[in-house]
Amino acid sequence: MHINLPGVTIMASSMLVSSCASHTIRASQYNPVGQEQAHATVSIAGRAGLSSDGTGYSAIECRGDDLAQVEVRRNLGQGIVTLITLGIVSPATIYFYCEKQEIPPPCDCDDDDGL
Amino acid sequence: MPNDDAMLDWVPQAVPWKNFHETITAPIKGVYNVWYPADLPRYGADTINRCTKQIQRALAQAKANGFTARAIGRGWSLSDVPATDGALIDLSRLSGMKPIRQNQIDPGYPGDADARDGLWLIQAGAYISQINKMIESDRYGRSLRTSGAANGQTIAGATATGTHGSALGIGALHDHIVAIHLLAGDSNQFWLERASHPVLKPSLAAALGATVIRDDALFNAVVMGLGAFGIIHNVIIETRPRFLLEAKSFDKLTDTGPTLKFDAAMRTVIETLDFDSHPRLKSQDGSQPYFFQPIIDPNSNPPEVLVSLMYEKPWDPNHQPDYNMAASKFGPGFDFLSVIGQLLDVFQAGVPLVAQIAIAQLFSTKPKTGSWGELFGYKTPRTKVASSTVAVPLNRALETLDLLIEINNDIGPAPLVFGCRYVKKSPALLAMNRFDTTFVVSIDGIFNNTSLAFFDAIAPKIEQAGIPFTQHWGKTNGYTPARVQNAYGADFTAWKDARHQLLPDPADRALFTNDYMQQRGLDA
Repeated sequence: MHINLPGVTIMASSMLVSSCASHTIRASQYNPVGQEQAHATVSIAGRAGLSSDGTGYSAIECRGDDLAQVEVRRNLGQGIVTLITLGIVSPATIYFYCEKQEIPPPCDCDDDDGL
Repeated sequence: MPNDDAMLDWVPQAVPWKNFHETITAPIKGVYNVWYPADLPRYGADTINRCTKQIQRALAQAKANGFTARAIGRGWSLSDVPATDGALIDLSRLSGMKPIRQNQIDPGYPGDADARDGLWLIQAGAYISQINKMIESDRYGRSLRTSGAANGQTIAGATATGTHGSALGIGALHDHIVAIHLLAGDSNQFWLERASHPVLKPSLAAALGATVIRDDALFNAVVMGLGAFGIIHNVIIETRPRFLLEAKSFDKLTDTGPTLKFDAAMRTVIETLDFDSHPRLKSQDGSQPYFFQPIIDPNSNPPEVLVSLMYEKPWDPNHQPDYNMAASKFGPGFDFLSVIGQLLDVFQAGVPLVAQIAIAQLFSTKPKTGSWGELFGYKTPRTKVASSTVAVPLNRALETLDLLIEINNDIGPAPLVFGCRYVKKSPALLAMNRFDTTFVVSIDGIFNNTSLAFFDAIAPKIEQAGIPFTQHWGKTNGYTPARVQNAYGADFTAWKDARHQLLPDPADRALFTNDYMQQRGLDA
């Protein structure tokens, strides 16, 4: 079998870049709205240390609505920083979707303005 | 009227925008988010007017800044139909829904008593999943007639790009629509219905300040408008009484027998829909399926087939629909298929094995009964997939499948499968389903260079064979101006004429033009 070495190299590199870390949690009814939001964060010395978000990031982009999905991704560069600092400095990017707001259901009434 | 300026915000985009499935990127300037009013009023004329004002404010700002503008919902399309280098106007937060009351229906409405019970006014950003959940509830007891395989799209996005299913004798999702509220630029708005199918008394359009147009050609242009006519803010759809579907899938001739093959018996069913002619697909009680989808794996030899059949059953009052997503288990991450795709570009010999594994993972042969909204829910929330289609008259189905298998033999193996679907003809001018029974091959699989090369080869191959064909606007397609002209003929001209009629100002036409349209001659 002919093996395409440049191809293998590219593929292996892309696996490294894309597969450093990803952790996702989503609502069971999964009703995300709008475009994906991204938030860069750095944790220094874990929960006992400092975080660029203090005790947590407030997703003001959602205007008070819930979160539909949160994904924490760490790419190759962020992984290397974590590695060379023995995990003391741990950068990541948090991607999230806001939950779609519930709109009042229709009423059985004749009161709505021509509709 | 309250000060609603906060209903509109502008989010500049520093990095290229990606669609939901991450198959395309676009260097947009930013996104206008249009929010539902914060005081959460019921969905009615006042609310619609408040939202209209903000959408048209966004359009005016885009125009003043020299941006092009496209409406966006979930960004579900796999093609670059929604892409722009200007502004996206995100309508996904606008998801009002309400049934139409009998006294609002025009006396000339041609629907029967049941149809009159099933008219719904839906705002552009309502997801198909939300519509299913709302109308299938005990309170309303209605159902969509068809939808795509997944339900995460908005009603406006899914219908403007031609989303379809495989419900036999039934059209595509856009064929539910019987009235359209169109914002044709930053000041004009129209209420469109077919002259041959009036729906509402003029009171609604009057309450919205929209000009009523009852014209078959204009309606049939806008209902498959590809975002080129402006922004569709609301639609009225027809629904049917809710029902259950008994879904069965087969991959073997008998429960323990040999695998189903793309053999003479299967070819007969695919071309004639004569289910009694096939020993496995014949119904025990003589009933005909509501939904039929054979999926062909071109990388097995001879090609193997997995069949999905669904039979209509009466609604069971004890049935409680479950719309939740299944709990996750150990499995592939988002980029897994992309990496596998790159791997398969290098080791093509692995394609048949991967295809077998993927089919086994994606298609369960376990029977299931549920409502339309339950069975056509989210499959996986988000994955990067390759997807294209070719649609032909049913009597050219087998020839088309043979040509696709030939392409795979020539340039593959490609990590793709062929899902065969059936869609009734639509009156929409640029509908993919323009043949009496349109046979659609949905070609789906892993996104890699071989898959993209396969997609590039489809249109020339089918053209060379002299088969009339169309392609899905929202998936990877090989449309050029000449191919669109060949596919749609006079309807293409009528569609462009309609655009000039509804957007007479060249600046408004330019506002809604993107590269996708220019590359296909839709901007003329």
